[in-house]
Amino acid sequence: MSDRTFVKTFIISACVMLLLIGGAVVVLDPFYHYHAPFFGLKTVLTESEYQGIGSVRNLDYDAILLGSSMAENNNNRWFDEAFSCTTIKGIKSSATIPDLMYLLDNAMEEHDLKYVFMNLDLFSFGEDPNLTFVDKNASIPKYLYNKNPFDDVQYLYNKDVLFKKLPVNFVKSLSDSYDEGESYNWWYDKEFSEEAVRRNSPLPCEDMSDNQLPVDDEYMNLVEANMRSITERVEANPETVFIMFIPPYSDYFWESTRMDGLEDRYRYVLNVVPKALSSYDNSICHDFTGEEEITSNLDNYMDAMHFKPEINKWIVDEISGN
Amino acid sequence: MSFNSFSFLMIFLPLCLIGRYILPRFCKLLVCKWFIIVCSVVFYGIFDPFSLVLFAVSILITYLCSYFYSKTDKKFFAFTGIVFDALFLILFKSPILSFVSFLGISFISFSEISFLADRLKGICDHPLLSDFVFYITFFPKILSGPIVKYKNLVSQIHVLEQTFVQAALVKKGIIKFVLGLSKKVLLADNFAMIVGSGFSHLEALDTPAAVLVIISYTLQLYFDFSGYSDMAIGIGYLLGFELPENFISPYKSVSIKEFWNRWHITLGKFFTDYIYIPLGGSRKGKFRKCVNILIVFLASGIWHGFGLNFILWGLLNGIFVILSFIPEKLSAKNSFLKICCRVVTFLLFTFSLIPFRAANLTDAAIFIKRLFSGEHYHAFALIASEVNFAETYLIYDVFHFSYQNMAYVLILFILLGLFIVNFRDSYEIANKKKMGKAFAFFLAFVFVWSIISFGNVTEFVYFNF
Repeated sequence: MSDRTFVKTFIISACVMLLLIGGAVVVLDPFYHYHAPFFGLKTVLTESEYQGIGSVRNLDYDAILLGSSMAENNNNRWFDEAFSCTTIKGIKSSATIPDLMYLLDNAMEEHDLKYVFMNLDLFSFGEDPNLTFVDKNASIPKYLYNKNPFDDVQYLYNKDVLFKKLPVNFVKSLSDSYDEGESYNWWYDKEFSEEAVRRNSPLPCEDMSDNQLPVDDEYMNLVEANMRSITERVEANPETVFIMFIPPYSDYFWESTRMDGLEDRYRYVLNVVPKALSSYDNSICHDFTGEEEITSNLDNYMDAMHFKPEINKWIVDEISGN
Repeated sequence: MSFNSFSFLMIFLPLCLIGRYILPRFCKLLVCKWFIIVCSVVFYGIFDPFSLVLFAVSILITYLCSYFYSKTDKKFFAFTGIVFDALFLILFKSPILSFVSFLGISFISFSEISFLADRLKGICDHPLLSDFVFYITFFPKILSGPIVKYKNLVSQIHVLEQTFVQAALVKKGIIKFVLGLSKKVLLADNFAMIVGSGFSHLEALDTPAAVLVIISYTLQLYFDFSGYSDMAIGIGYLLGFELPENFISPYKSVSIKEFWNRWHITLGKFFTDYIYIPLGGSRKGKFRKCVNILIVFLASGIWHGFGLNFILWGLLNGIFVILSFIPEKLSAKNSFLKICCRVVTFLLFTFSLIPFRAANLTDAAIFIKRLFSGEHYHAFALIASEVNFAETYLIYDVFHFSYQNMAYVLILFILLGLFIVNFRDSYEIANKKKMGKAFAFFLAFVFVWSIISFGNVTEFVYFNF
C-alpha cells in the first residue's frame, strides 16, 4: 500500500469511528444533554451532577421537585398522583438556595411549570446567596452546564460515558423493573436504625451548647437575601404554585446542632422563613421539624438528617392534604 | 497546551498544519518562520503566560551574548551566556524559587547552553534573530525535548518553503504521534493509577504488591516520557522536520550502559558533549573515567530534583554503568546469558527507580523494607480496589468481580506492558517500509480510543523535570 493510501485509510477510518461514537452519544444521550430519550426509552437518572442539568433543561414535565439528598428518595409518581402533574427532580447534593434557584431558572427557561416543590434545608439559608455550585465547585463537569457547543467534545468523546454510563443507562432504560419515578433514590442499600445514626453522624468533639453562634445582622442579612431570591421568583411567576417544606430532622440532629452552636441560628430560620414564604397567594412553606412522632424515633433515620422513603411519602401526603 | 488535549488535537494542530502548508504559496520563508514561532508562543503561552515573560528574557540574553561574542570575538560573552543559562536553570529548579513556575525551563536552558557551546566550538555562526527564536521556541520540543542541536534544526528550516505534503513523512508522523499518544493515554496514565495507589499505601504493601507497583512505575515512566517524545517527533514529521530519536527500546538493553544509550538519548548526548567530554571523558585513565561517569550521573540526578533520593538514583545508575563491563562480557557468550542480562538490567533500573519515585528517602526505605519483607497477604487487591479502568468497568459491574479478581486483571495489564516494551519500538514501526490497510485501521482505532480517554488524562511526568 502506498504512503498516500495509508494516510487516507487512517484519516477516513478515524473520522468514521469518531462520527459513530459521537453519533451514538448524541442519540442515546445518557446525560440528556441534548434531548429527552428517543424510541420510548425510559429516563434513567442516577447521577445528579452529570444528569441533573440536562434532565431539567430537556425532559418534558410541568412540575419540578427541587432539593438536596433529603429529597432524592421521593418517587416522582407520588407528586404526579397527588397534584395531577408530571414531575421530575432537580437535585443537587447539599444544595444551597442559589443552587436550587439555578436549577429552577434553567427549568423555567423552556417549561411552563404548574408546580415547584422545594425541600428547604436549614443550613442553606446561612450560605452565600449569590454563589452556585457551578461557580464554586471546580470538579463540576462545566461542559454540561454551559451552552458552549465546542466543549461538548468532552462529553461526546469520553471513555467513562461510552464504557460506563451509556451501556448501563441503556440496559436500565429497557428494563421493565426500572421505575423512572425513583430517580436518584439511594435508600436501597442503606441501614435505617438508631445504631446507624450514631455510627454515621458522631456527635461533635467540642460541645458549644453554652456558646451558641449569634444571630447577628450579618446572619440575618444572609437569611433575608436567600429568602428574597425565592420570593422574587414566586412573585415573577404567579401562575406557578410554589410548595416548600422544611423536612423533619431527627432529635439527634438537634442535639448535634446545639453542640455545634448552631441551634439559635436554625431556630431563627424556622421563625422567619415559613411565615415569609407563605405570605403569597401562590406559595406555601410547611415546617415539619416539630413532628415528634417521627423525629424522636431514630429508627426512621440512617444519620442525623436522612430518613426512610416512607417519611418522604408522608410529607407528600401532608402537603397535598391527603 | 498539552499534546493530549482536545484543544491541541482539534484546533491548534489542524490550524497550524493548514497555515504551515498554505503560507509558502503566498509568503516568503521569513513569514513562514514567524508563523511557526507565533504558533509556538501560543502553544507555550496558553500554558502559562508568566513563564512566557521569563522565557523571552532568557532568549534575549542568550541572543545578545551570542551577538557580542560575534562582534568582539571575546569568549567571555559566550561563557557569560552559558553561566547565565545554567544559573537560570538552577535557580528556577531549586527549592528557593519553587513557587515560581517556569515551564520547560530545563529543555529551554539546555537548548540555549548547547547553542552557545556550539558557538564557542565554531560549529555555528551568530544567527538571524528569527532563526534563533525559531530554534528555541519550536513547539514540538519546547516543553520536554527531544533536545535538538541548533545546527540540526535550523539546517532544516528551508522545508518551510515546501508547499506540498510529503506522504511518506506524514505517514511516519501519524504513526509516531498515534503510538506516542496511546503510550501516554492508554498505558502510562493507567499504570499511574496503580503506582499512585501503591505509593499511598506504603505500609500496607506485601512483597508481590511492591514488585508489581515498582514494575508498573518502570513501565509508566517509559510510556509517559517516550510517549511524549514520540508525539513530539511525530508532530515534527507532520511539519516537515526530523527531530532526533529519544528512546530506542531501552528495556531491551543488556547493560545499564547500553540502557543509557537508548533512554533519553538526547539528554545523554547533552551530558556527554557538555560535561563528560570537557571533564576528560575516558582519555585520562580508568579512574578518571569512572569519576567522570559518576559526575555525569550525579548531575543527571540533581537535574531531576534536589532531593537526596534523586542523588541516590543518579549515583546508583552511575555505579551500574561503571560495572556494565560484566554483563557486556557475559551477554557476548551466548543468547541465554544475553536474556539473563536483559532481565537483570531491567530489574536494576527498576530498583533504582524506588528512590526516584518515592517522595523522600524515608518512603524509599519503607518501600524497600516492604519489598524484601517476604510477606504475602493479597495486598495488591487493595490497590485493585482503588484502580478504576473504564474499559473493565462492565466486567467488574456485570460479573461482580471481587478485588482479588480485579488484581488479576491488573497483573495481565502489567504483563501486556512488559510485552510491549519488548516488542518493536515506534521508531522501528514508523520506519517499516510496508504497511497494510489493517495497520492503518488499527492505528485509527488506537487514536480514537486515546481521544475518548482524554477525560482522565494526567500531566506528563517529565514536565516536572
